[in-house]
Amino acid sequence: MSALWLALHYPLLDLEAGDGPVDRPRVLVQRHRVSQANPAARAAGVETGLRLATARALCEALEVREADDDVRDQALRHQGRQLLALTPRVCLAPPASLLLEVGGCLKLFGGFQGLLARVDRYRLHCPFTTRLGLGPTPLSAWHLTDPPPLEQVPEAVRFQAWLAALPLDELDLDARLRERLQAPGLRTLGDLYPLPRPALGKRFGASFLDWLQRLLGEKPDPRSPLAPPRPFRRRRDFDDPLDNLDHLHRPMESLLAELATELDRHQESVAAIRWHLYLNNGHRDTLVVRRAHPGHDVATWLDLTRRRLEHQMLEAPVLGLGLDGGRPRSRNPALADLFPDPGARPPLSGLLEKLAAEPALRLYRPDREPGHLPEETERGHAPLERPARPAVPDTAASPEDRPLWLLDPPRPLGVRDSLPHWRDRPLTLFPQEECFSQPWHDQAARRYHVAHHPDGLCCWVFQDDRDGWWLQGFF
Amino acid sequence: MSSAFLQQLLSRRDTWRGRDLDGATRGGRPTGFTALDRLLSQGGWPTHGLVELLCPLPCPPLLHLLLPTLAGDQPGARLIANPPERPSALALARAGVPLERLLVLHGERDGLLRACYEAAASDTVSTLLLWAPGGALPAGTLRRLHLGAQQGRCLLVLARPRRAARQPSPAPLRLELECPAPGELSVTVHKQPGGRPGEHCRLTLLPEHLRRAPPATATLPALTRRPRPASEPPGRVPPGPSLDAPGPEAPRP
Repeated sequence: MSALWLALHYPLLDLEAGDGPVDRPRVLVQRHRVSQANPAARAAGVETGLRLATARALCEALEVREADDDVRDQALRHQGRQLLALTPRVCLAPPASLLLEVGGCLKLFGGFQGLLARVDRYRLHCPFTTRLGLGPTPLSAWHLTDPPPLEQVPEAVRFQAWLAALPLDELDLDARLRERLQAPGLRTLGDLYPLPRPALGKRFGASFLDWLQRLLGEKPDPRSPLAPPRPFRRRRDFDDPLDNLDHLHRPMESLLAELATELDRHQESVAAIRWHLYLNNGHRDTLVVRRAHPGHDVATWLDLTRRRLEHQMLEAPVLGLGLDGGRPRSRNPALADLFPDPGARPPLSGLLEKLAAEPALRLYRPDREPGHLPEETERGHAPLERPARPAVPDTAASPEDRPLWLLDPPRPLGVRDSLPHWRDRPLTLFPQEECFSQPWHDQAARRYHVAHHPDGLCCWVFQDDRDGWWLQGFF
Repeated sequence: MSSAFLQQLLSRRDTWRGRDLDGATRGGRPTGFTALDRLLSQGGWPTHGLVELLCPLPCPPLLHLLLPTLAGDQPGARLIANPPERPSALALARAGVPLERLLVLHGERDGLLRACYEAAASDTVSTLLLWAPGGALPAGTLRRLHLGAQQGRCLLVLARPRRAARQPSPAPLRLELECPAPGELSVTVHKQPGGRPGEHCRLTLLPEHLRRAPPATATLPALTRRPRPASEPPGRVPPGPSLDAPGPEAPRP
């Protein structure tokens, strides 16, 4: 896959940025001189460089515009976002050009012809005057405008030949540099090819040499692509307020389909979405739906949303529905197993997502935590949290017995005849005791005992320094 | 009784055939207890499906019985649903249970049962241990759980109160548990494919030093009593049912 760049020039963007091409003669004026003129103005004889008074004399109905850089940049960005449908690598080349790397997506559009057909369709519907350029590097695409009709991607040699024929006068260089280049009698870019590069750099400056090497593809020319608009945010208002949550499924599905299209366009996924229900009483209910891994398919999002909605109570009829897509992440599909194990189980994440979407369920992943008191050594991870490295090293070798069930907080035990009782029956205490003291924690020291209960249970109890007995766990 | 009627009866999906082992006579998952493996006709827990343990609820030693199964090298997650107390991660990790694949689930009755069915049928959970929520469990629910567990290759162990033994159940394997002494568990077969009810065995769950009865003197509470008033507890006491409440199944002297 070799790199192929398309350049789209909008030569009259300054004139057309506001309301597109017009039939009326219109010129752009800078310092009382015409800097751009549209075809209608040209037909009336108005040329660039004319004084404004002369232009007005030539054409009575001349409409004069001042350059507005903000409007122009905004229009350029807007066109760039439209072109993101063709390739994710759309680069801005101010003032009025876009550069598109299309070498990677030729196959997607069925080859070079298919791609050009897409570009032609875009140019047909584009509200601005456009010129197309094509080349193996961004700079060469910028310069090689209006390519001849092509069947397939031209070879590198043909591009070189076209570049060689470029007059030095038309290069995108500083005017003084162009004059200096022409001074020794050089006329076209091809005249520069045989000259030794170090000497060129010495004579015309390192920046020119760098530019030339980037133009000819001898040096990389990295460009930062245009970032797609962020974030996805849509709102849908209903003519009649909805008082049944089931009626929300259809609009939700269509909003999710929009989100999926948007994500597909950029090859991205999101890990969480947020629904806003705009209620009739002025309140807004927000539902967050999360997934274990970023996803982009409508069906799963809709299923999780429905589960979440089941437990939602409506205070008032719904007037509008909003959807916020979370932070998009680029898709990184894992490699599929070529020979999957026939007995392999699917990943747990699908089940976790479903269970985590139901607010009535409490799901956690038990884990250990460094702590002093027994009940402090436990923690629960949220199910969708990524399992971290175990914080506590395996203490399988440590000799103390720890109960399998832990009561948090400990339960008070009744004391009768100075014996701790549980379920109204006395506990038989083991004489060995284990001491936990934590004076800095403003908590009483605990003396732990193993105790047997007549029901056939082995309990773990402790006595605090106020002689209260507490049940901590069961073995 | 005509043979056609008999065939019709046998072809019903809810007819339980005591001698039918689906060809897998001894293909069960080892329970980790030799005596119990000998007791079970499949040589261990069934690989999937519903297993009922009828025990005095809530029964803390029950988790000990399932520890080797939870710790086994089966692929897939382990789910503990509706436990009466918090299972200690430290003790589970020491027993070899992979904590990164262990989940604990709490919930209201209907949502819990539905979630358990989904988990069992999802083919991602290899062992599911469910403490039956309060209220009656109709046979249809149990049947759904059993079918879901079979579909999802999940061993679904359902802990139910002992009074449920009187109700018929679609579970192929039903065992009754009893705690005769601390650290010991007596298992009686209530129903088993290819086996007879009434057989029983006794298992030792805890190490010797925890089972050994303390010397008689230790029962005396001569443990440094100081004359100080007992007062407020160190932490809040949560409401709700727990191991602490005297169970209706607790044997009374």
